Amino acid sequence: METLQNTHVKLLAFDFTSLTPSSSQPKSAVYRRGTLLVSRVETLGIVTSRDHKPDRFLQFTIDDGTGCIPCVLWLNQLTSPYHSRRSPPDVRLIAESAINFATLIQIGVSARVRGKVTVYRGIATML
Amino acid sequence: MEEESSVKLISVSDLLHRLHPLTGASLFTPSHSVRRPPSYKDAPQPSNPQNPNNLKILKPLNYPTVLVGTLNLTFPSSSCSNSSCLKFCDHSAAVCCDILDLDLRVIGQRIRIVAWNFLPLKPHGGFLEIIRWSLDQSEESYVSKFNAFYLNSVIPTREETIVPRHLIYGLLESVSPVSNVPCTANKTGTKNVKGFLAEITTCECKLCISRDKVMLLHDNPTEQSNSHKFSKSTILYFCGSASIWYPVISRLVGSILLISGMKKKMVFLGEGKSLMMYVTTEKAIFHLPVSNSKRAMNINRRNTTRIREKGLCRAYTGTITGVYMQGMVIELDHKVLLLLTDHQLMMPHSLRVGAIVTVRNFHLEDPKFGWEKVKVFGSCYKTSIRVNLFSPIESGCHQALQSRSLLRKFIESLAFSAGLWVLLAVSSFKKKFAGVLSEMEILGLKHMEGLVQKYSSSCLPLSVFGFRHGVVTEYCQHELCGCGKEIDYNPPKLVVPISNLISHCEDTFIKKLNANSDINNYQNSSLVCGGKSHDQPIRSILKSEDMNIVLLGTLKISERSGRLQLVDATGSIDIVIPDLPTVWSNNDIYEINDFSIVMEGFPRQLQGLELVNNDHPFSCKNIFNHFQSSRRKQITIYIYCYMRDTKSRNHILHPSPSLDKYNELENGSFHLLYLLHKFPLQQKLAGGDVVTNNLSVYVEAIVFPWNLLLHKGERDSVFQVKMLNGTVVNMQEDCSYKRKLLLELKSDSFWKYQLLRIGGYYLIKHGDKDLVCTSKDFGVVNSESHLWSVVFFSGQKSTDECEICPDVYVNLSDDDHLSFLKAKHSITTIEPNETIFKGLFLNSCLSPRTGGVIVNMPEGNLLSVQGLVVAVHTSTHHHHYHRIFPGSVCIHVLVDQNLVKIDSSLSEHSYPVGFGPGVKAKFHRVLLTTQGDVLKMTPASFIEINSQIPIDQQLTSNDTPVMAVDTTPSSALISEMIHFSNHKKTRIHCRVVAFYVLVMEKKNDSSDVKFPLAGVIMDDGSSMCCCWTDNERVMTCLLGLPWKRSRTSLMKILDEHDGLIVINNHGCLSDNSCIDVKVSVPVKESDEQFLKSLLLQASSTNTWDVVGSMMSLEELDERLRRLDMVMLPLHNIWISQVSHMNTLNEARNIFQQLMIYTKERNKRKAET
Repeated sequence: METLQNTHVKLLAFDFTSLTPSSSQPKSAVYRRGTLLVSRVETLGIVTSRDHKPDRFLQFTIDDGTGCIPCVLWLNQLTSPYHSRRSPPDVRLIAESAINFATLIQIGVSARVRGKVTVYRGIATML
Repeated sequence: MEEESSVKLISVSDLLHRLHPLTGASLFTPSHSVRRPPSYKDAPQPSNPQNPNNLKILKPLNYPTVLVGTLNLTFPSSSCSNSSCLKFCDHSAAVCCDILDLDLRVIGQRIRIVAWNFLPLKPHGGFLEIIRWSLDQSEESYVSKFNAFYLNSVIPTREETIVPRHLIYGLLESVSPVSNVPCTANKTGTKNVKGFLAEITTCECKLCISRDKVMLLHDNPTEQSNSHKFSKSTILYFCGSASIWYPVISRLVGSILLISGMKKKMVFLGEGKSLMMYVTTEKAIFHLPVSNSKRAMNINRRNTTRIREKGLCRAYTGTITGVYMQGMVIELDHKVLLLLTDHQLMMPHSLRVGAIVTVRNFHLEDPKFGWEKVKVFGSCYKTSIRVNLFSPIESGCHQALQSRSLLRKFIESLAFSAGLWVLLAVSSFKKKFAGVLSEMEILGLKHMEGLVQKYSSSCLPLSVFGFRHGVVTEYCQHELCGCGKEIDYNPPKLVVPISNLISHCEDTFIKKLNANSDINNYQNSSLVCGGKSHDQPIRSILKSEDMNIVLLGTLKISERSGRLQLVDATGSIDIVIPDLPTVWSNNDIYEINDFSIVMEGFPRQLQGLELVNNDHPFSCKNIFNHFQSSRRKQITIYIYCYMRDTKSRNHILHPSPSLDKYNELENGSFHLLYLLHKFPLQQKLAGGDVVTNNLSVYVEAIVFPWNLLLHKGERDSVFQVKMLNGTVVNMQEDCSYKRKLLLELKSDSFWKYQLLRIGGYYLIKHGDKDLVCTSKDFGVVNSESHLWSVVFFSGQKSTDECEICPDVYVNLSDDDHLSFLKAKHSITTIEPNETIFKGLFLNSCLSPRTGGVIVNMPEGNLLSVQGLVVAVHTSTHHHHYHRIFPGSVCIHVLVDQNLVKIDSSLSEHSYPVGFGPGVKAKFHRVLLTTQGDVLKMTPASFIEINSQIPIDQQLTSNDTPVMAVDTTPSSALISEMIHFSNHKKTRIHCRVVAFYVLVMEKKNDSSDVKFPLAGVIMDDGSSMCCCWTDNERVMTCLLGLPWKRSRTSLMKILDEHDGLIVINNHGCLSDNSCIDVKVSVPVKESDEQFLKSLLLQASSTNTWDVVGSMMSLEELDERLRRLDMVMLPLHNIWISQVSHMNTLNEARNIFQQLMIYTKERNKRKAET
């Protein structure tokens, strides 16, 4: 079985939506499509929906013509315990970068998005 | 043949009076009943579309006709000297003729011609092609009464009445041309005997060697000819009055011949050589075959067992598709060139375009011409041509030239391929110099060499010249004379007319683009400026060494554009000669052997272009024929060459006046000028189609306060550069006084303007009324005043100092040189603060210094900028345009690694030839605007090209400008690259995931950063890899460092920490959000944040187009060990170039590849 775990595999939306969590791999973040194991993907499409929760997250959808991929951009770096072990200036940098991205994501723009695959509320989602 | 009563009898004189080509037949139907060559339909159409005359079918008479007359071998008052002609005469007149399926019985008989072609011959003759005939009824009974002819007359006889002796029966292999041989047999002295030779192979079978060969006469050829084996070669000599049989015998090559009454004689060929041959006597009889002529003559080829002579080909049948150079070159089937250069070879008039002919006994040669593949049939004295079918096309007859010029003799003495090359050169010269030189000057006369011959003999090696021995010797001792011997030599370069050259360049450019699958590939190179994408021109270069051609022509300044052009009678082409001496003359003919041809165009404009001609502009046909092509405006073409590679051919034609010009320099007093500025052609005048004679251009110069005395020196013979000694003579008491002088050059002195270079020193002869003395601050340079470019030196001359070769080097004494240097220094540092040029422009401030920190220059000042032109694009809102300089353009120049934009709205002709991406140029007097680093060209600004980099394609944003069309690395995925060998350059499209390591160092000599090593994690969706580089430009690009602010900040950090910083990333390398960077030295927190943000920003930018190759682990391992780092479990790629990827173009490419794939798949499907 070929594994492309760290590579941002370019997937079309209809391929993305057919991803299933891999049972053989204990790590939850590994998904399979046929014989291919992926954990990170890249997609290119038009932003068709946008739900912004300041300081929490930005939820948006990318439509590439074959389907829609739900995406989440976390904006909670400054408050999340996940980032608390890092030095505050570093976290600020990352947060700034995320806010910067969030402003770019507007409905109708063409965006290239890279991220980790995860299941969020039962749907494959890109983080 | 039954004829209707309406058939009109037409007389020969009637035909002769008509003066135009005609065809006629006795059976007339609207569909034209004249017999046509069966293969005519398949025959390739006459190939020159420019010459529709070739297509004209012979005009038929609109009523049925018949010609009645006698067919004869000779005609006493014949004006035609062609010995291969038969004659046809009726009561009114006689005319040369040719006949298909010659039946010997008709000779001397009255025949009715029922299908014919008539072609007028100059001056007042004509040529009749007899297609179909019948014997006149009154003659038929008589014809059956004879079956032989006496050879020395044309008297028919019946063989029963004679006793045949010395019967010769055999296959006629070849016939020589008719020639005169001095004969000493006669007691009265030497007398010329006319005659021709024939080679016959006889049989040595029982019957043939028996004494009683009379049986042969009754031999039934259809039954017994197969038993003969023709193997023994015998030479027959038809001399004296028997030579009138030449038209008949020459038409029988390849047939069986039966002759009796010949006498065996030993013939001396000279140089102690002799040969036994059969010579005709008074009793010699030519026997006609018993049965139907055609059947009897077609013998079984298998019976000819004689071994062919080496290099001599037996026969080739084909359609004539072209007759060139007065019949000396005949093109067959569009693929073979038959050379008939020998004046002794008399070819029938019926060798016309469209005729089907059989060539026998020729030499096949395959000349290794570098410009075209061509097959040559060389003719010798054994060659014969028979017309099988006459041409139905109204194509002219060729007439052999009576006079034999020196050039003709020259061509005859050459090997076939060399002869063809000379003929091509003759054709080119005639086309190129028509109107410039007289035909006599080009071709020469009977006793005078012309330009072509002089040129050709200087190009051809001695080995291609051969000594000619005369018809008899060369015929009899064919191989000994070296006829058709293959000579191994490198053929000289092709002399091409400029029209053909332009067409070739355009075709090559278009083909090259098409071959690169699609033009969209080039849109990768489109440039984004001001938020818009702009097309960049595509450039392609042709090198002279790949083309095997030579350019000949004169140099002229175009009256339309004011540019230097290479000109011949067929066209003109822009030319850039950086080292053109100022003494060149309009009349010199230059020979340019080493050059580059640059072709440029815009992808979108080139997309629709298709090849106009399917055939090659350098093909022999297009060199011989008139060639015309319409120039495509979308492609810019110019030649780039250096004069030191060019030798002027002028001295061959006329005593070169250019030599005398140097006399002015021999001695005397000179003014010394420093050229401050050249003003461009004024916009309102330049570029118009109207030729304006009152155009003027202006240059600004500074006159030195002292004069220069020149003494006799030496002349450099190669470059015609003088070495002189000089002394400085003070003219003014105040040596610091320098006068500024504005010089006007009228249109007749434009070439002087072209040659002047800003910052150059020039000499003007001092006289009573010279330009400098008579004018205070404004003068007009007339055609007499010469400006000599000069370079000074003291002591030992170093020619490396200057790029451009000056007219004269002047050796000054140490003191003089010192004062010159002082004056030079004071000039280059002066800052003239006054109005320039009749109030044309603002207050000027000249700063000849180049580079530097230009952004800090005060507002509104003029300055000079020198740098590499990276891009030129339109600054109007039009997306694309078909001219390089459509009006308002934006020029991107790289000045000391800073990208500077220059706005320009100059006219197209204000840009020097060759200006575009890739050249190093100096922009004089550009205005610095308030917009920071944006500069504006003004009407007084002048662009000077410092060096042209003749490269294919345009620049990318990195340091490697050479990106040839053919060598562009192919794209691949990272996962595929691991299978590639090391060092194979590949293009990948990827994004930066994270930085692994970054070493930054301060440059010793300048205030800039260098990157000794950087490792960047890249991902293209197929795999990840670590890309390594030490290339500053690559890193500048990846880090987004062109911005000055970040660069300055980096410098500051480096300054504080001994000039070296190493940044390691110990975090997760597949996610840039897990940044965990360690800096090698303790830096301020703000600095650390700056560095981190730099890396973070670099990892979130767009997709890169990266060129790199797989690298070996060893070379990397050691570098990393020094940094105390480990190698990552990734593939390592060494990158050399990086540029932004154009997603749109990438998508287009993918789409087109898919289209091609689909097309191929459908094709395969259709096939199966």
